[in-house]
Amino acid sequence: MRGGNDMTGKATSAAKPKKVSKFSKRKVDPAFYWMTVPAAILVAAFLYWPFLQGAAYSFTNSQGYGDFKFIGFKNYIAMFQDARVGHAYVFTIFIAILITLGTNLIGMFLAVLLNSKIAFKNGFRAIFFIPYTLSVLVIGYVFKYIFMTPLPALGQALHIDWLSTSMISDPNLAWFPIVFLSIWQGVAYSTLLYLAGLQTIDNEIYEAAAIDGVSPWQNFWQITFPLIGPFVTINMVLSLKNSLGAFDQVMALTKGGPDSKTETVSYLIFQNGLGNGEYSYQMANAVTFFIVLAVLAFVQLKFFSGKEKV
Amino acid sequence: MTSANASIATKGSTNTTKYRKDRNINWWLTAAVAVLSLTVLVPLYFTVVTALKTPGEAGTFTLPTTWEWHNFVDAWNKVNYPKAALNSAIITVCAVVLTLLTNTFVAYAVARNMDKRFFRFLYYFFLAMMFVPFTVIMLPIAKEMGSLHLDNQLGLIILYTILGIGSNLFIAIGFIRSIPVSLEEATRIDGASTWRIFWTVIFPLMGPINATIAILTALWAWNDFLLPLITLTDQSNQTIPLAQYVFQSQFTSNYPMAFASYLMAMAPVLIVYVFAQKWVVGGVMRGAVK
Amino acid sequence: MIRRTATAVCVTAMGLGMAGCGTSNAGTVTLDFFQYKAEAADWFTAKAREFEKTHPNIKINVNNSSDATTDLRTRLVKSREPDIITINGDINFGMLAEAGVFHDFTDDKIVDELNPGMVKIAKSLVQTTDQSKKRLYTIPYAGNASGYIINADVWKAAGEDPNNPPKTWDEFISLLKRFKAKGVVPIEASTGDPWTIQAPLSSLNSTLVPESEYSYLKDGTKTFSDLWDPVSDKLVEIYQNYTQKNPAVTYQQATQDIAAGKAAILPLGTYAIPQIRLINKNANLRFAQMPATNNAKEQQLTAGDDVMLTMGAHTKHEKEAREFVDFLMSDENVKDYSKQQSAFSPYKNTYVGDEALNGVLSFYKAGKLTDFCDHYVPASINIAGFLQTLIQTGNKTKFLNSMQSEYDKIEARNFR
Repeated sequence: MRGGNDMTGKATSAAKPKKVSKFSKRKVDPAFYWMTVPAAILVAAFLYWPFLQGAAYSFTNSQGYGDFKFIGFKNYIAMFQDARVGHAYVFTIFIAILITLGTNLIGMFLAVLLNSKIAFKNGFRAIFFIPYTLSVLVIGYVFKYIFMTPLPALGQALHIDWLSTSMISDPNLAWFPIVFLSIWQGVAYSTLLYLAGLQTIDNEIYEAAAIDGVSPWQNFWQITFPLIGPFVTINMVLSLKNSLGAFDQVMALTKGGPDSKTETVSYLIFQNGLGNGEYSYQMANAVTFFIVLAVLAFVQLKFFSGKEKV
Repeated sequence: MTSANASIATKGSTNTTKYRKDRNINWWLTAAVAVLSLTVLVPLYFTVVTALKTPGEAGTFTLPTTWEWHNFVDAWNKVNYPKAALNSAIITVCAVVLTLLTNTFVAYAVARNMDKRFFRFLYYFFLAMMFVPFTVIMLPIAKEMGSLHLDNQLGLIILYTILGIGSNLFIAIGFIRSIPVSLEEATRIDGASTWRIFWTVIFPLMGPINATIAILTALWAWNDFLLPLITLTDQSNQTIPLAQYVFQSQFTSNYPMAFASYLMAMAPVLIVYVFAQKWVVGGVMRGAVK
Repeated sequence: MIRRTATAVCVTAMGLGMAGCGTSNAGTVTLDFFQYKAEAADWFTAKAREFEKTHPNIKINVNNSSDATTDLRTRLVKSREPDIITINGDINFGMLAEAGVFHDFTDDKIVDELNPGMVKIAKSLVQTTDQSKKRLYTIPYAGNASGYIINADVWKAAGEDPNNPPKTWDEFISLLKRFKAKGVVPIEASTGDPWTIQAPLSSLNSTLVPESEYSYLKDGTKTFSDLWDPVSDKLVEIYQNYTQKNPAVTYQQATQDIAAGKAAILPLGTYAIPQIRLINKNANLRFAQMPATNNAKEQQLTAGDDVMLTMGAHTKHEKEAREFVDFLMSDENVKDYSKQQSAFSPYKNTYVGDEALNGVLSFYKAGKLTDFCDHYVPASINIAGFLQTLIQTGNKTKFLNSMQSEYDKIEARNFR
């Protein structure tokens, strides 16, 4: 915090020390305004304005083109009674939790492994990052085929019942390929993130602990975990946000099937909003989705920043 | 955090040299990691192997009996790979360049003025971008790009540059704040303007984080499918992932040809990655430290 | 400086990239051709090139779409109405036609030469309750039919006559039983692509439910339980007793299987025939109507306008677009398309593109055609999904109730 001399007009009791304003009153070089305001205007024009437009459409009966009428909250009321939308939210949150936990736990685990005394470290690190470099859609098509043909064949050969038909067509198991693919790719980024965090920890701390005779388990929980706290927070928030928006995977693997069982909110909005002409109805869905995301992010940040030890 | 930031580059190398000297390699762990790495390698192996089989043979994990290289030629022609690759390349390169030339000074301006209410507001204004789900703005953006006649590559490049501001700001801000103000003040005394200071002092120092931004933007622009789907109208502007989506229904049951196509879609990134892997991985890891 | 070179490179690249998407130079007209049918993509592209050779002042940008319903709507949102369009004759077409997106061909002179049955289907698809608004917004280009495809070799090997398919429901079931007894897979299912279950649904419903019944559905006097009860029973019976061991394969896999002679019957439409021929050029195929009742005389063939050709209502190049339309509608091009895609040609003298189709030509000639039943159901209802659950569980009540409640919900929020 700079510019400590200035005081805001806030009245405080004379006994307390001089209260310093959170914001300074110094003059700012106009160049800084030129650096940011045009960008802000563009962001408003290409992100926030369309967002407001989309939200406005949710109060109409528009098909996205042609004429339309203002209908108030009718779309929202209809939506809250729509089991298909409700299921999409439940399913999305379900897989988001699985994906976030899976990605972070496995990522953390792999990071610890990659940071330990193994050979060919850089080689393995490079291999584990490959999934992140691939297009979700394309690798999704590859996995779709794997889940539909060779895997059931393997299941039939090994006489494992639930593996003998394609998981993708099984209403109870179709979530698995989606979660698997998301974790497969998400772990790549997660691992690197945690690895970076682990490498910020000074080795001397471990050496000091080793002298005291600390077990690996204690090592991890008492030393490692608290020190990479901030990494965990950021990672969890971003993971959750990304997995809640799961779209490419659904598009490649199941297209929402079987029988709408694997429709995520994003997919439903796209498919029915754009494809099947229910545009304004799905915009109501989209606005609700945004509110859910914002609330979740806020809650997460509040929860985790309380636990950070920076 | 600042000291940790500054020493990241050295810390990494100190660790590896330490371990190289340390000769105390745990081979059991190494084996475990090797087994785990199969989860990444097996699907890739499967892709390659399927791409080289005949349609009748496809579906197993075995090696092909005949090596059907023509699948690649067929896919190349069917998907019009050269055009799609060129489109992807133009969009990615331009998006990366434009992003580096613009998002960086936005981050700099916000980073240096966080004590001002206006800039603190801007910080949250830009950060909030990351939480607006794309599906909400999908159609209105399509409409906007259409009416501005930006439903083409130029439009995509602009969108990638603008929509990336939020996350790039997030990544860069910690790094910029760790650069000592004294460097700028020294140049300012010599009479340089803020813009001058940015380009001559800050931008070069941002080298490492610029690399991170470049890599992440490149991966995003190259692999993205939804934005091109909505924005591009003319098929001749298709990017590689979009081409895969469009032709998915036209491959019918010729899985080997489809897989050859997927492989060619993944190839450019993988090839670059093989050569630049240390740099890419290092860049992403640096971006993780905020 | 690096920065300046990079910017220069980028600008040049963008310039080059954009040069490709320019519109017309002096004299050349560029037409935007939106083509929906994935299987016919190559054919239409080749025809466009052929047309360009004889019309040097016209250039055609062929956009073969993979998901026409989404793509076309996105186009409209972007105000990028195409000049020439091929589209499937389903409810989405009807919705777009009602919104005034397509050119009106009702009073065009070409209508006199077209098959009246196909014209009637095109008109009734328009989604409006006002009969006067059901105008002709397209030219039917190719007709298809839904029934089942016969692998004649498999039939002959099992002692059945492929030229004499069953005429009633009971005969059909006995046939399936006979195949099963001989260890031949009677029906090749493909529930991995659930839309394929809609095929036998439509094949059976054309005889069971006349088109007029659906207006009772719309005004609420009848429900799905009234209309679709018989077809539900029949679907469950077929899918639970007479398919292969793993019915959850894809449409593509199923076409492969029937081409390889692994089953006797593929319960899909004529659109699948070219796919099978792609795999096995010499496949010995027949096509038959799927009988739904025990009265041979009342059987109807489920038929639709698979491909319809039209122009954008607001096209800036109507003259040139019309030239291309006329070119595609030429007798030899229409016949060529029918042959390549095993379709029924749209002219009065119906030409069948594949000898396998001769089996149902009589239905076309007698006008015993009914449109696909799912063309009367809103597109956002997940019929395929419900059907999948129906045939897996056999729960007919659940299916009919699901259809009805979704339909009611959509009608309730059809605030137009």
